Parts: sequence; C-alpha cells; structure tokens
Amino acid sequence: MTLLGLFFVLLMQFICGRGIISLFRVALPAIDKLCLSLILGVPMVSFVPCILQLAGVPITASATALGITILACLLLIPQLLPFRRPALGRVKLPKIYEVPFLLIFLLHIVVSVWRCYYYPPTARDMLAGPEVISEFTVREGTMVNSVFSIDLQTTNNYFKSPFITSLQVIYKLLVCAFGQVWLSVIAIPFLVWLYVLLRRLIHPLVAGFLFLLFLIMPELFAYTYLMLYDYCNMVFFVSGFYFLVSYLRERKSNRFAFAIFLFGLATYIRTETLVLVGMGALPLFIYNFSQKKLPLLRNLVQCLVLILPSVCFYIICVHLFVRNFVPIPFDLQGQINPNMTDVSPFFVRMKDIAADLLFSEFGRDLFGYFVFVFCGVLFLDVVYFRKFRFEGLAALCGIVVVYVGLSLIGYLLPLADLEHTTKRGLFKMMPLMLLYLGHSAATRQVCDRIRVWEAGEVESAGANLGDKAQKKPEQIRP
Amino acid sequence: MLHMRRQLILFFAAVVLLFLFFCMPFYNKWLVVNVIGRSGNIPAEYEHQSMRERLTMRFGHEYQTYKEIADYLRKLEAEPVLLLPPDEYVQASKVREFRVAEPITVYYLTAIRAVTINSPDVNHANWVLEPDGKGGIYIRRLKGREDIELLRIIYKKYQPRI
Repeated sequence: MTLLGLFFVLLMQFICGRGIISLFRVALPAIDKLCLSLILGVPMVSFVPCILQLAGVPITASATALGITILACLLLIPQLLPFRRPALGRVKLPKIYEVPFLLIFLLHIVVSVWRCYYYPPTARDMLAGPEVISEFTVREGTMVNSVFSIDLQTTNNYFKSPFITSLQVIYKLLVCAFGQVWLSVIAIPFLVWLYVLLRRLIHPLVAGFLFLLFLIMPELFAYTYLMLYDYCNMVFFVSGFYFLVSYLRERKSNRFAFAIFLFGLATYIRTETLVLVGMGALPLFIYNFSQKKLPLLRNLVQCLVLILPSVCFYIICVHLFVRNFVPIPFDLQGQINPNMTDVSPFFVRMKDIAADLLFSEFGRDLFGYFVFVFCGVLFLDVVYFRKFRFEGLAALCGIVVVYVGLSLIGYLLPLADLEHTTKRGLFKMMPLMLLYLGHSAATRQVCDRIRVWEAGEVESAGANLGDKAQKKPEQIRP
Repeated sequence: MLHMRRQLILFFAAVVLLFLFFCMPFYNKWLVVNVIGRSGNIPAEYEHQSMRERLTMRFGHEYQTYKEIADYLRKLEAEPVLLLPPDEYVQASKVREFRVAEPITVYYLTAIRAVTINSPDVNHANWVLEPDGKGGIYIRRLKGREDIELLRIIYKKYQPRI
C-alpha cells in the first residue's frame, strides 16, 4: 500500500467533502463535520475518472491525481471565501464507563479495515462487473476497454453506476492493488457519526449498548469490508434523511438543500433509490399539509424539489455515464415488470420481508437481535409510554418508506430479488431504527434514571439532566 | 467524589453487561469467530502480502487452477479461448472443490478469454475445460466445430447458470 497515495487521496476527499458542506452552509459540530467531510468526499472524487473518460483523456495515475487536485481546489473556494478561524470547540473525552464499549468497537473496526485492505473484492456482482472493468481500466487507460469484447452473456452488472468502478480505478492507481479501502473511508466515519449522534441523545452507557447491537449485525458488519453498493447507498440515504428531519424541525432551507443533495448521491450509487425518494415525498406532503398548513402549490413544489436532484443524478448515471461507458445497448424497458396490472407481487414481497428477512431464524442470522430489540422498545412506547418525539416519529416514517419502497421496487423490477436486492436494501432501515431507539420514550426513561443516579442526590434535585444533555448539541455552532 | 465513585460503578456495570452480552450463544459465536478469530489471523496474514497469496487465500483452489490453465495455454496459443462447461455439468460429474466461473471472472483472474456454449463467439474456442471422471478437471484442445456441436448436445441437459 502506498501510504503517501492514501494520505493524498484522504486529504483531497476531505477537502472536497468539506467544500460541499461549506457550499450548503450547513453548521455542524466539529466531529460531525469531520465525519461528513470524509464521507462526502468519496462520491465527489468518484466523478473524476468519469470526467476524464468523457473528455477522452487516458486514465492514468498522474491524470487522475491531477483531476482530483483540480476538483479539490475548486471545492476549496467556498471554504476560503467566508474565511473565519475554524472553531474547534472543546474536545470532550469519553467517560470512563464508555471505555469497554469503545475498545470493542475499535476491535471491530480493526478487523473491518484489515479485511477491506487485505482481501480482494469477493462479491459476485463485483467480479462480474465493476471490479473487472476497473482492473482493465487501470491496465488499458480507458473505461471502455477489452472487458466489453468478451462473453458477457452471464451478467448485466456492467450496467450499474460507475461509482464503484471509478473509486476502484482511483484507489488501484494511487493507493493499493485491490483498491477497496475507500469503503472503510465511508463506513468508519459513518459509524463514528452515528455513535456521536446517539451519544448526544441518550446516556453513553445505553448508547454504547445499543450501538454495539447495531455494529455487530452480522450482515451489516460484513458489508463494511465487502465492496458492494448497498452500504454506501445506506450511508447517503440515512444522512439525507437525517438532514431532511433536521430541516423539518428547524426550517432552514440550506438543510433541505443538503438533504436532497445527499438523496441525489444515494441515487447515483443505486439508481433504484429514486423510488424510495419518490415515496419519501408522500409523508413530506402529508406533514406539510396537516402540520405546517402549507399552501397546496408550495407543498407540491417542495415535494418535486425533493425528488429533483435524485432525478438529475439518475439521468447523469444512466443516460450520461452508462450510455457512454458501456458499448452495449441498455434495455430499460426489459427490466420493468411487464404485467403491472397484477399487484400481488407487491404484497407478497411485503409479507416475505417481514416473514423471511426480519422475523425469522434467517433474519436473526442477518441482523442479530437488533430488530427484536427495536420492536420491543417500540411496543413499550406504544403501549406504556405513549409519548413520541418528532424525530422518533420521523424515523418510524422513514422505516415505513423503506419497507414499502423496497416492496414496490420488487414489484416494479423483477430482477430485484428478495434474497439479494431486498435483503441489502433493508440496511437503510437499520440506522433509522437506531435513531428511533435514541429518541424513544422508554430508552430516555432508563437514561434519565441513570443520569440522575450518576449525578448524585444534590445535583439531581429538580433537574431533568436528560433533557439538558439533549438540548446541548442544538446550541453548538462552529 | 461520589460522582467519581458512581462512574466507576457504571464502568463495572459496563464490563458486566458486555460479559453477559457475549455469553449469549449467538453473540458468543460472533465474538469467537469474527472478532477474536479474525483479529488473531492478522499477524499471519501480514506476513503473506503478495497479490498471489492474497488471491489464493480468498479464491483458494479455483484461483490456482485457473492461473495454471492460463499459464499453460499462453505457452501454446497466441490467442487462447477457453470453452467453459455449465457448472451444473461439472458438479454432476462429481468434481471436487471446483466451481466453473463466469467468462468475465475468468478474464479478471487470468486475462484469458473464455466463452460458454451459448456465446455467439463459441466457435472461436480452441480449448475446453472438462471433468476427468476422477473428481478433477483437465483441459483439451478442441478439434473443430463438430467437437463443439457434440459438447452442445452433452451440455444441453444442464441449464446454464445466469
């Protein structure tokens, strides 16, 4: 592995990601900004090999490095224009009782990063598509290479988004032979961000335990080092969802713009996400109509704007990149269900998701006991506490959107099977479940009791420390 | 002081919680296999970092077989094209620890062109991969179109994997 190459790519990705955050003027605490910058930089640099290919420039190490540098310089401008001394804020050290959990998390991260670096890509979808194209792009200097002259009858994976192909090209050229470590650059900051968010909401001890349940879901953890589209798609979809909810709470339009941009990136990674974003417009419409009493026209425009970047990224992905990089005709019509009048596959898929993937022994092997814990807490909230926070309800709404959306995708696209496409699509539900647990009345009740006990009798008198701790992050402004 | 003491109690509570959690059979297996087992492999893997070793570690016997076939064919042919039988046929012939890869994967692992019997370029194939009847595989040179048509009849019974 070239450490210098890794440092260069990481730095450029960070600058690109931070540039995007600056463009949207999203105010975030330092740790959130660091994690999101690293995450956002990855899809940004992935456009470089695509642009080189469209411009007819041979894809070499030097051309790619130059392209990434130019992109980073361009995205540095919004960071320099309103120049202010960066406010780093006070670094809060973890509490002593978090240490056992943090050590376990660290051990998992070491295993994940090592496997990501050490082993070559394994997933069949990669070995019959993006990974092969990227390998021969590195050898031949073009994405339209000799792979398209061999027998491709057994696969259609070359029609997928160039996101992974491009990142593999960059990392193979500049970092290491098997590429792939960009996946850790997305997965680790996302996990850190998620833990930080959860820790802000609830007591660190409970946050540590719930996050552990989330982290060691066997299927989800495996995809922190197995290169495929779904984990990255989940990261951008959930990030977009988080900022959409934060917009609905604070009504800051830059947060809405940032959210729809993130949804767009999720669609660029997996084009089927367009269906989920479209579905997400429905609860937004209902919320705007019933709670905010928005005029019908304004409401409709906002819902359309929500979908617009995803449509743009879909067009860029399918009509610009795939059409130009894959010298084989793409039959979109052939992918769509020819018998739309029969809606039974939609309901069958809904049933199968619940019966086969979530609440079964197979489901336990995939997601551990996390889904069961979520259902237990939700049951307590519904039956006993009957109190819901806005963010909690929004997370539940997001889970329903993913559940119904995946069933709809299964109905629209017969190739989207239950065992692969739908199963991995369920990843998007899991961080939403975790966020719900962070806002749940039952969890907060437990956390408040621990906090009061921890603070001691004198400090606890008349003070609701749980609420105090929750309000704090809202006040952080860099 | 009281606060500090309670934090220490919470620390021990966290340790006990983790201990009990990893005593659950499902998570205990996870810890032993996926965390302790895999992190324990890291020092040994660190010692074997060549591309070939890592590819062999991942794809095992199949990778080595395809690599040997490719090295052999390159010595004999300027443009070797390997005809791959349906995997179902190979499995039915009781070949041990070997699965037939897709042509694109064979190209990825070896840079050698491969075709299936249904490929429009099947007539360009000059070698074929075959079960040897003893649980292994071998390759043989194709004698022409008649040979390919004969294989087509044999393979017909076995649905190709898509």
